[in-house]
Amino acid sequence: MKNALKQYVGRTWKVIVKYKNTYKLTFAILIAITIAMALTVVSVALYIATGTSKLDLSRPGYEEVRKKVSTEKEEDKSAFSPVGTIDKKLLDDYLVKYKKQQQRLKNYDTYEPKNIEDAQLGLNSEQVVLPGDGASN
Amino acid sequence: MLRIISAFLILASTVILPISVRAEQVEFDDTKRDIVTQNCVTAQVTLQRIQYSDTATRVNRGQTYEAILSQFMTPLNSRTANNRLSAEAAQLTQITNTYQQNIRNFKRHYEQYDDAIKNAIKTRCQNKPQEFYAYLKEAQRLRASTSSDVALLDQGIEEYRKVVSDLKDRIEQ
Repeated sequence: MKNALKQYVGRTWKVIVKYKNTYKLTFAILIAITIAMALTVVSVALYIATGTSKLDLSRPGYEEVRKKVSTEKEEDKSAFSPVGTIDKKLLDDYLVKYKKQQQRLKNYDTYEPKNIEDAQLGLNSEQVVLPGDGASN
Repeated sequence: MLRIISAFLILASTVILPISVRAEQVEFDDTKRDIVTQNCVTAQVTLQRIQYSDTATRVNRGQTYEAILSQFMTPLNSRTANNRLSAEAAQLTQITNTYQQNIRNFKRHYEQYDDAIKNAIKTRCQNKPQEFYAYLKEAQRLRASTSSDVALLDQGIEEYRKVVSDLKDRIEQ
């Protein structure tokens, strides 16, 4: 069994070497395609494994969502320096900018659990609509 | 070959079994089955809308949390330490560490919640109402965890602001 496998691998390898020498360009293209495919698989695996795929708003269906994403880059301009002295004026300025960030957070949803509760989704027993009844039980 | 089979069995016991166990644990009598079968398609439409909206919230909150950490907390922690305000520096660093841990929890819980809600949306709920309901219950539980993380993060941000405000008052005197 082992010998048969060895012979098979040996024969296949010889055929590959023969074709490689005859069709060099074809082989080069095949190798390039294989490498490209391998790199694509790695990229997609990383894209999924790191959770980036869950936040990717360029996916189909997310057109409306993209508009809701804040594009303000104000924070980039107001980065605080890690060096220097600390005085009242500096901390006043710091707190004003810091409060702006806090205010920004207040505008966003807080993942209220009640939004997907049974009652909200019409899955409570008292919300059953019987056929032909036209009223809730 | 034996190794592959063992690996598959281990995977099945760690991933597939807990899901089926969870499905069994959800209270699901005949009345509930009828209600879910009848209303689940409408519920899935609502869940899809919520899922889209939640993704935008996740991006917005994530960006702001990271901005607060990298552009406000970390630089001020260094600055207080450099200015030999060791008591405040220790306090601020401790709040920052907790805040960082809460960001990690928030990200993890959101990912799990997103998986659960997507599974609930994808399930052929009229054929498999119990499976749909189990995913929904899982999503409800994880949404509550994500909401708690948000509350803890907001609390940490406020706590940090108070320490900075107290420091400012002390310098003023």
